[in-house]
Amino acid sequence: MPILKTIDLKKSYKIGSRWEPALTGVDMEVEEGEFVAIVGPSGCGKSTLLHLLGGLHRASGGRIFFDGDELTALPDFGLAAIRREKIGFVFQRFNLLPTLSARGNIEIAMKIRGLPTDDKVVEILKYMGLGDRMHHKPREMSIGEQQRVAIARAIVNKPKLLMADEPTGNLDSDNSNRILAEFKRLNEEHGQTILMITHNSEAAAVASRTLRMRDGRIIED
Amino acid sequence: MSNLAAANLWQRKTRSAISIFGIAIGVALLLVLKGMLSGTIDEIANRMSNTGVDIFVYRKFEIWGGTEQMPHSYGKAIEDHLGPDRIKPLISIVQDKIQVIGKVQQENRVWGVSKKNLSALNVRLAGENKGRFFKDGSFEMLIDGRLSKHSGLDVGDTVRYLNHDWKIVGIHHIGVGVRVYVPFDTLQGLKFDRKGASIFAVMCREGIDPQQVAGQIKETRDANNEKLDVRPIVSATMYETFRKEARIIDDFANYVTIVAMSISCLVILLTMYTVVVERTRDIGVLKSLGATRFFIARAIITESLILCVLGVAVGVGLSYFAAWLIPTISLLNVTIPPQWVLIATLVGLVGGVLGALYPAAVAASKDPVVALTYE
Ligand SMILES: Nc1ncnc2c1ncn2[C@@H]1O[C@H](COP(=O)(O)OP(=O)(O)OP(=O)(O)O)[C@@H](O)[C@H]1O
Ligand SMILES: [Mg+2]
Repeated sequence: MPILKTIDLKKSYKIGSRWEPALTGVDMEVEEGEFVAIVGPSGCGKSTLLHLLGGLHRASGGRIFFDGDELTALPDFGLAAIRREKIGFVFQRFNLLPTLSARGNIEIAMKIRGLPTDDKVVEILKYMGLGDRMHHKPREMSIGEQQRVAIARAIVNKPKLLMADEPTGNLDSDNSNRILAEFKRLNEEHGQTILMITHNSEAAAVASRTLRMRDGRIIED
Repeated sequence: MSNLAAANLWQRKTRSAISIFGIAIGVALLLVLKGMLSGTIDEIANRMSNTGVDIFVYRKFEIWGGTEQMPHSYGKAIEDHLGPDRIKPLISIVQDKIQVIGKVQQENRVWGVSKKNLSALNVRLAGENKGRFFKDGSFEMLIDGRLSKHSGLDVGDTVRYLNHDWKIVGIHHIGVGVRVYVPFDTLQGLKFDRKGASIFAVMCREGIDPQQVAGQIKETRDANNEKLDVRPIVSATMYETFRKEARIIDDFANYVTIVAMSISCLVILLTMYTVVVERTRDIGVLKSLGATRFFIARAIITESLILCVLGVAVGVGLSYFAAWLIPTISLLNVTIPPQWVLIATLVGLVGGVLGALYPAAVAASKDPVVALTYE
């Protein structure tokens, strides 16, 4: 039983008066514990797919099943609940809240998820090698550190699925390697299911499986 | 939650300070206006009742009392009608206004009273070295301690009034009757073409009810058996009477309540709308973390509430500062009514929350993906 499954998933965007297809029919499955990389040329629909799978956007057609729920049948607040309880996002641009410290960024994520903000915050920051950066604001940290805070924030509630949209896109190779190593460690040591979009073939090589996309569909598994 | 709100506010200190100040201005405007109205009425009502007079009889009552002349015969008729068992002999007063006195350019009432009646009205000198009472028929003047301080005038100085030079001969204790006293006959001669007064001050004998006496004064008839054209005001109800006369100012103050609330509302609306636009990406992030619409709206409203609470606090502080400052630099009095502190607080908070509703709704309904990719 896959944790994630899509059937003929479609998404079109309205540009002026025309509908431009971004996803033209995606069928895919992800098993629990897999580390899947999605690669493909720019504009092929990778981010669009991720947004649909994470319940951030609504599909134009097709169905998504995730951990026992049909996302395509849930109302907005149901999708918010899924994001809160079962999904962690990591973005290319880190997207930390600029006014909060590393610790504050993780605490707010826990509060949103209704978790007590206890020692786990410190624990997870230490796990990500950020023990001495707890009180730093995002702009007081290196980009590598910022991305590690973002990962800590995404995994603090032990999500069923960790989604990353080009997590290394803004990083130099040293920092990229470190982030990829973290992902691999999470996947291997904790069985974290990961879905990662990347442009980079080295990054894709870390994953246990690679999906290749083109023109809004998956062309190779 | 409040951490995020506080952190956000702290990050844009200048803008937060301006918003707080905007709300504070609205609140202070309301409180100082109400305070001036109450303070002035309070003080005048107190001063009038400190004279020991039970009823002031005017021909026509304007705010702060009338200056229109009543013939001497009116006083006689009232005394005859009520009799010496019920009232003491009437005190005749000529009331006028003086526009400029020393450095003070604010209208002040003047009472023309005979020297004998000064004591009857509880007028006392402010101290041993504060001069003496005037002589009847002279161009001598008494002013109170506060007017002396603000006008820069003291015993021995001269005041120009009704085309005459008046010599200040004494400084009297503040808080009794009016601030300026001159001899009755001198002022009567200057103001009226024949003998008369603008106020007959009535003091009742012990055990006699002033309300009842006032009613009887209205029923008094003159030699031609016509009812006197007078309006008796009982001292004990002076405060309410003034309040009624000043209703127009009171109404105005009530409009200021609406203005103050609108200021709060607009300040918060503009501030928080800007904030919501600026923080579009952050809102997207919160949504990606699973924040509900309610959570986002509450975050915006919490931020506004912090601004409002601080704004109200600063506004109330400013008002009390003004309530101290204004009387020390002018002859105006400010007494902030405690219940209006509560009303102003509610006005600031309710205005702020109303102003936050629209930005909060905009924030809550943002599309997460659009918000996340916002530049
Ligand atoms: N909000 C939107 N409105 C209109 N068109 C959109 C929107 N988002 C994406 N598209 C279009 O949908 C297509 C797929 O975009 P998407 O962002 O999914 O590509 P991508 O594979 O992630 O590309 P990249 O590697 O450059 O990030 C593109 O043609 C894009 O222009
Ligand atoms: Mg993309």
